[in-house]
Amino acid sequence: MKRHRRSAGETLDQFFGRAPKPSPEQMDSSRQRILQRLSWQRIAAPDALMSLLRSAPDADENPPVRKPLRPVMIALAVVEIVAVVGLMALVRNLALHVNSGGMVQTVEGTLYRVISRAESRVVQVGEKIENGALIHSDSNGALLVLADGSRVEMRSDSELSVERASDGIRIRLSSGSIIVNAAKQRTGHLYVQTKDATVSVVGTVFLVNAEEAGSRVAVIQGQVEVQQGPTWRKLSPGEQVATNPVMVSASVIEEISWSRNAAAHIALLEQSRASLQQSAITASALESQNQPEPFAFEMVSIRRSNPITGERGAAVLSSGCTMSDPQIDAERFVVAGTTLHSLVAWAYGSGSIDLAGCRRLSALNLVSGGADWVRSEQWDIEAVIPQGSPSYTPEQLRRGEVMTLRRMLRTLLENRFKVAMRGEMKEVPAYTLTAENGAPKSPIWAAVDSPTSRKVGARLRSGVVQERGAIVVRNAPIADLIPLLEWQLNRPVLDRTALMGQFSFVVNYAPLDQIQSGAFFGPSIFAALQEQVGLKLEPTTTSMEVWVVERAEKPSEN
Amino acid sequence: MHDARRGFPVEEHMSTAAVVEVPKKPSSQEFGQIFQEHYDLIYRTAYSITHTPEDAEDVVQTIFLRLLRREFPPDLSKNPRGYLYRAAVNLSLKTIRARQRHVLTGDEEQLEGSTDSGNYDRDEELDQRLWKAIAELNESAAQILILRYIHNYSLADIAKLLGTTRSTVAVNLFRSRARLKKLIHAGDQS
Repeated sequence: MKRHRRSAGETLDQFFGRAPKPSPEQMDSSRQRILQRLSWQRIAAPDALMSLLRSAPDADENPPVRKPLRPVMIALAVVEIVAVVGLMALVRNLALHVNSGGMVQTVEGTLYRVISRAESRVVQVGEKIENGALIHSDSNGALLVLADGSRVEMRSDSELSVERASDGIRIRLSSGSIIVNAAKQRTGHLYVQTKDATVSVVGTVFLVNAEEAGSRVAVIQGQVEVQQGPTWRKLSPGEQVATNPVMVSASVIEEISWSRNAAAHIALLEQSRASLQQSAITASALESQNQPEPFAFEMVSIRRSNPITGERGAAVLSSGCTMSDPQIDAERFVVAGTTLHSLVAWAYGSGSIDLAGCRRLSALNLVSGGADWVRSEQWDIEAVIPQGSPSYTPEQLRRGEVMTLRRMLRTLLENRFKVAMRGEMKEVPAYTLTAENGAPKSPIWAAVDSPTSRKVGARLRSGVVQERGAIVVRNAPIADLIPLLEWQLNRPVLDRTALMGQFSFVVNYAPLDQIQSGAFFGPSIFAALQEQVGLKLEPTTTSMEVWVVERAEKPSEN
Repeated sequence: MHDARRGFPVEEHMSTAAVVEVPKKPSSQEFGQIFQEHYDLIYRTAYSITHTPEDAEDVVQTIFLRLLRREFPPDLSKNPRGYLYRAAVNLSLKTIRARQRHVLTGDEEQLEGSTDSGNYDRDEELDQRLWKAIAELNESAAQILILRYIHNYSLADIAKLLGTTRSTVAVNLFRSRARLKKLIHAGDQS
């Protein structure tokens, strides 16, 4: 039977016919939101805006704020982690291949591969463990050797997964304690990530201890960088830092006493301390951990960009962020048409160094302040990265794993824009994401009731994609879902699922504002997450570091 | 009444020959009138390209913020609708280009492979490719395409709105359609 084949012209006409058209209700609700936001800009013609707003029905009743749903309070569960890097943890025993080229050694006890909450199996010697697989140690602990030669000693009943990072290896520690003896990283990093901190290592020995209230990191040898939200600290041997000030302080020696190589670790710690004392570094190390590091670009060129005629002019969004992402290579950091607001967000905030990162911080009100020009005037910046600095990749910019770059940006802002920032911890409304028993319960092939999710899900091997009322997660950790939820909800989302490893599922939902405007029918993101996947969003408050621009000056161009 | 003497904001690095007039803020009445008259076209344009109300609102808001900040060309008063429409198309296309970089957090190249799970899927995949291709057209070509096929403007109306000739619009449309058809053919063959 001959099948009718559409001509290219017909196909093109049908394509244009499928272009979405807004409903009158949606246009009205958008009009109100736009006028409301324009009136906040306090730039000009306020009486005209007020007049337009008054003519729009229910303008006051529909502020552009997403309404929370059920005000249910839940208790916060804080994951604690102890990670200790032990250079002397040299145990030669049975070898298991973890992933391509990787090794894992067991000293005593047994390692389990966690398949689901109810199912796990023993990892056999020599068995390959795939990227992102969840590994659990029994009551005796175990020792892993990673692909790069780094050794990870797991405390009893600890759980982690190991995955590729863009520039090295990332250990996601969901519970328990580990001691990591990081191999010398030639070009990349070894990251240890917990729920509230990320530790970056380039060949060193350190300890991270987590308790109920948070995580603790201490150094045995070398230096580590610890990032907690928007802040980071560099620690030297003998120093430690806690993510929560209420945590009870314990000595480094006490923290590593559980290790079967504790004696070796302690000896190494003493040796490192002695070495530091000899070079007179130790005296100021504890004080300097809170001081800004003297990281700076070698040369910086700043020019005012022309948003109208210049090819490099990038649109400025209502948030003050510009649609202009920085470019980086080993030698240069370049961004065209950026606002000072974007630069501040990248320098002081956490998250990605791009438009998405800036928009997230702005939407959550984590970066604010400054005169109007901070969010409107645009600058072209070219900076030379000094030799010996980390060589960042675009992927690292996207993941926000750029501690040294952030410090350089801070120095740039302080020197050229005369920026003075005020950072304070504030209680802000947030949501917690928790997992019901068995969650996430819908595999990607089972919850596909929309063509979009079926199509995207079928072709995406790993990652998180949001498209037309569907969020598709495939072979990705829950952590990658969080930014999308924050984007949807305009609030921080705290991951309390305790789900480690990688998951695949689909959430089909209707965006909140489209439900409110009547343009789209379907479950809200709250209902969809719970009913389709078994993940629950509940309102709460959390303490977050909020940055305010207190002073800034327009820079002289060069 | 619009003031025909409006100009670019004075920029330090612009020559005085290029900047001879100081811009004037639109009055309350002017701003309100411009917003009321052109909001529909701008919003519909932005929504048809970005497909989301959030992005469409950002586009519209940015355009009117520029107006409030006096970031408009000197001839705005001659053809405000044309200027605002062009700005809407350009900003919306920038938005979808940026979205391709930001929304996808997985390996982008992994979306390149195709699946054949129904006509609807093929349509969506084709839509993505075509919107990507439109975003890569030059700005005036995209502006003309969208006026013609999204807003159903006649060639004469397009020419009038964009301040060009009917024949220029026709040639431009022909070339853009040819380019998109070629893309469709290539997709069919693969």
